[in-house]
Amino acid sequence: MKVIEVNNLRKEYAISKRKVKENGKKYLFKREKSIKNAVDGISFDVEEGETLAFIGPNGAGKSTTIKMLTGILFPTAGDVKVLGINPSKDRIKLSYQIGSVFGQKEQLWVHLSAYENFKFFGSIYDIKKKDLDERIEELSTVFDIKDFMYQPVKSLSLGQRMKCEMVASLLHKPKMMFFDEPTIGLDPIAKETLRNLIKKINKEFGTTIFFTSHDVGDIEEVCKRVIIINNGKIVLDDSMKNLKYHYLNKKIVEVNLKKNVKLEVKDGIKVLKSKDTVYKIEVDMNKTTMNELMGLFDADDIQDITISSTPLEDIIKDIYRRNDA
Amino acid sequence: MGVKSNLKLIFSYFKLNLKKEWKYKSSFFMQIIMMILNDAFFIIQWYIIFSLVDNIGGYGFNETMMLWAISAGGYGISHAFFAGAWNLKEVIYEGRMDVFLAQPKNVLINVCCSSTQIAAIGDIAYAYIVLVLIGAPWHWYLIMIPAMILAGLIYVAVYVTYMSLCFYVKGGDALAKSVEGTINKAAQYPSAIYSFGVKALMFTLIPTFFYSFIPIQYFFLTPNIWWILGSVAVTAFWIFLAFFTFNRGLRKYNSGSLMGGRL
Repeated sequence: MKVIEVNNLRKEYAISKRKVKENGKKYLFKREKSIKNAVDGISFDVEEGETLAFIGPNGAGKSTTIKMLTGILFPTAGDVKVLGINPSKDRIKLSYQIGSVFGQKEQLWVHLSAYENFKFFGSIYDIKKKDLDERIEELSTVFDIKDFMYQPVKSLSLGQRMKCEMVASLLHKPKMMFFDEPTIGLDPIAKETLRNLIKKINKEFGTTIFFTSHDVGDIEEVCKRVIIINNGKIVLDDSMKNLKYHYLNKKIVEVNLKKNVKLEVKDGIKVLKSKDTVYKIEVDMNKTTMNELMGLFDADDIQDITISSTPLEDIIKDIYRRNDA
Repeated sequence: MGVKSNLKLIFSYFKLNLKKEWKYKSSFFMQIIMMILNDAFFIIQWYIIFSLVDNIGGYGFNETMMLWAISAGGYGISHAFFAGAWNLKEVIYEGRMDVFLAQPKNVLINVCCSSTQIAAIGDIAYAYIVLVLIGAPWHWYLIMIPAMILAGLIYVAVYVTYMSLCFYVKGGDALAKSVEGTINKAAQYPSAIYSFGVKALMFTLIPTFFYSFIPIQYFFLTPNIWWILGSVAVTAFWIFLAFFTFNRGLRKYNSGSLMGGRL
């Protein structure tokens, strides 16, 4: 079942600035308007239970898209349906069925305890007292927050706060969760914990996950599908498995030789760096083989060799750059 | 969204905000006491003025004190329950409405109720202190409740209506602030001192008459059901206008990417 259907979605912003005269100076009152397409006619579907990474560089249009999907922003054009509901026409109905965690915008009141916040959110979502108490008990166990949920939020660490933010967003049993950079500013352990919890929400509660992050580790660990958006357009929509298979075709070989050699130039083999007897070589596996590379050295000269794949982060950076060009 | 659900939301927020402020008890009481003292200063001022003149525009000391009581009470209600309305400028310009829009409640009520000014409780208390001071009959204590609520509602509704200009133009808050200031200040003087043109404005675009003069005259001094119903209707009209302009403006809302939390 499709939980998100997006067709030709567009969001324009009008930018007004002072008009420039022929001599380069600016008019005092005359202004000129230009239109910026933050989201430029994107279309995609999301199936129930999917874990989707929706990524792109800063200003690519990810947050604008999430905000249109959650009813926060009105689209300029196009059709959106989330759980069969048009977010801009029926925002309130949709809000009961989705949850959102914005890493940069906290929804908890910091002077109150997380528990007091949960009680308040229960009333916002019209949850009956008994159901709310049971849900708080269930989530506080799953998220392991019982030790600190009665402390004022301001006294919690960022990792503990994010856990509480997630609990607050899950109280009303949403069918879909939107995460907008939830791991921003967290240390590696807190990040790992949060990623595991998101995976758990998906597995145990069957919640569909729509995830944005600049941290490739988040995406790699949590998501099975990735959509890359740049300049408001979708530039890649594929499974994480395919992304790795198609793009991880370059290997990095670092070899330390006993003596300097002159490497023969071959298609698919590129020396990235060489210093004394240490060479860093990129091998394009679509054009050549590792055997071909090894043929360039005398096996007796090799002191040490390391072979690694191009990091996913570099691949994503490469996709961003290619579409910027 | 039913009236019951919205009333529940208003009181849930009020309870939450009180709980939040109660964490700092000395500040909580200090704010209320300071506001009462601040308001009480004007009692002395008017006492001195009325020791020099018999009346101003037909109003004696008691009537003038009632003007202060109703305007303080109305201001108190608006800032105790809907102080978030006074954050609208930042909420709109800095794109801070996302949290409210993500929740299944009416956005305007959600934004307005999200904050409580504790000092406003001092204003409400002051309205009753004035009743004690002028030796008001017992039923005035009861009438004060709907009178303050109506005054508070029209005050916040007018402010929101004008503040919704912020969705369209930069600096749209200037008009809202001057209208608010005019209502607040003009309501503290007897209505007879104003000219016809000013009175016309005070009935329409800057509805000061419905904020203080009509409640005093027709709720307390010479009760008149038609004027009471009329003020209810005008308040309802301004509330409708506030929702209408805000909801229209919401289509223009641009979210922001500022980092932030809730205090």
